[in-house]
Amino acid sequence: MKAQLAGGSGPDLFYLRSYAVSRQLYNEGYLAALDDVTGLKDNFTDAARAPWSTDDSQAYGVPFIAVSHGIYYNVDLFEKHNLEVPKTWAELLTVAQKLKAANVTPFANASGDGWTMAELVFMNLAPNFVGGLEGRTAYLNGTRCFNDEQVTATFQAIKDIALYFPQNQELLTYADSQQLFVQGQAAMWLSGSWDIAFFETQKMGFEWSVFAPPPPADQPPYITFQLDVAIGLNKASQHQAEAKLFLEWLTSSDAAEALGNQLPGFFPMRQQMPTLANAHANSFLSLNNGRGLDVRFVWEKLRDGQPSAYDLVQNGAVAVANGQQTPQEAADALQAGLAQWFEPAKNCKK
Amino acid sequence: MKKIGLIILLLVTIGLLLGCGATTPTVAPSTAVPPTAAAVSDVTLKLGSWRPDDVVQMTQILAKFSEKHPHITVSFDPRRSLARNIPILRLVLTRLNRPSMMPR
Repeated sequence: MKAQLAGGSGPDLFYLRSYAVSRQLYNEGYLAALDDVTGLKDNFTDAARAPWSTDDSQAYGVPFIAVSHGIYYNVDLFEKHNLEVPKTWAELLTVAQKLKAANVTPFANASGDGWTMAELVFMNLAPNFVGGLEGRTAYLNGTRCFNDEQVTATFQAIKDIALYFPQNQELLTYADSQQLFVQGQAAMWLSGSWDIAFFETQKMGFEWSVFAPPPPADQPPYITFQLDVAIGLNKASQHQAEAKLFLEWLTSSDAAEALGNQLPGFFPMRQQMPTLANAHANSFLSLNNGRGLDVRFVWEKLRDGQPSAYDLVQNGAVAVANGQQTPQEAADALQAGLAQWFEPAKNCKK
Repeated sequence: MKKIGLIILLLVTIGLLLGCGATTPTVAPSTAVPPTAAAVSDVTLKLGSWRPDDVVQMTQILAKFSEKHPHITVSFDPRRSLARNIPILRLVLTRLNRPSMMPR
């Protein structure tokens, strides 16, 4: 692999993951500072720039691709069984119950691939239960512990819906779940916006759409809008000026539209959201309207040590779905694991 | 003449810096390249990524940029191995415009 890499020349511009990996590259001097890129501050919120900025807001990446989490649903099945898109968590469970009573598998989700329980289920649901960005920040600064009511409620939500997963769900993979939804056997599928591109290659003989995971009654609604990829500038590039022209263009509405239309389900992070030609992508992106946005619960800081919160959440979500842990036990394990290395978790106030 | 001499000196310095060992971060100062060079010659920028699946679509997106800036082409260069691996990223970012030193 090294030989392969050495065979080519390095890039001038480069995709950057959010948070720690890119921060490390910037701190080591590989990435150019981008404060002089016109349009970066005006067209993106502080929150959208944060995953590629230092703590004192020095930017080193221009936000490029986000993905959303939501719940795909089979519109025909919903109509056949007289079901409405649920607006609260309790309504979602009622919908699931009615489908099950009618011998339809309510959810295509399964725990055979553990990562799907972490990313597609837990992190899809968490913002509504922990209170979005503000709530998540309270864990990061130690004013909340990871085994508090809100995290426990998120694991409880997994227990609630796991009752409505397919038979033998512990054996089913991500691809199996997709097929259950594509073939019209399961009515709902908690997943990510990138599935749009795959679904559109399938001949699905029914109408499908997506709704936002509903919050508990009387709670404000949030959605996971995962700030995934920015583009950075290699400090060693001999074309700094041209590369900055490109990065400046990347902040424009032209670039946002080009991305959203070429790659349905990959969304621009520009504050002014474009209207997308692809109807499914446009409905998914429109779920952002009127909802608080936040990244996946464990993405910032919580994967930077061992045991990683990603693994702890995955283990807990799988164990809860399979009845091997209670929601409280899963939350306690998350708190205990993080307290081994994450200072705010060590000293948190419950 | 003095200015041209300075530019040559800077370019030689960059060349020497880039010629260093593979694992040493060799970062050229961004001010080394005169921005006016952009106006007179065509430039191809390489965009590194870990998403080979998107080649067709990204080529379309990047073409939109070149419509606005005809002298600049951005070429999409994805390799799946670059997803998250810091040592490989370091290596790649320091390999700018160096001739191949190992067999492909």
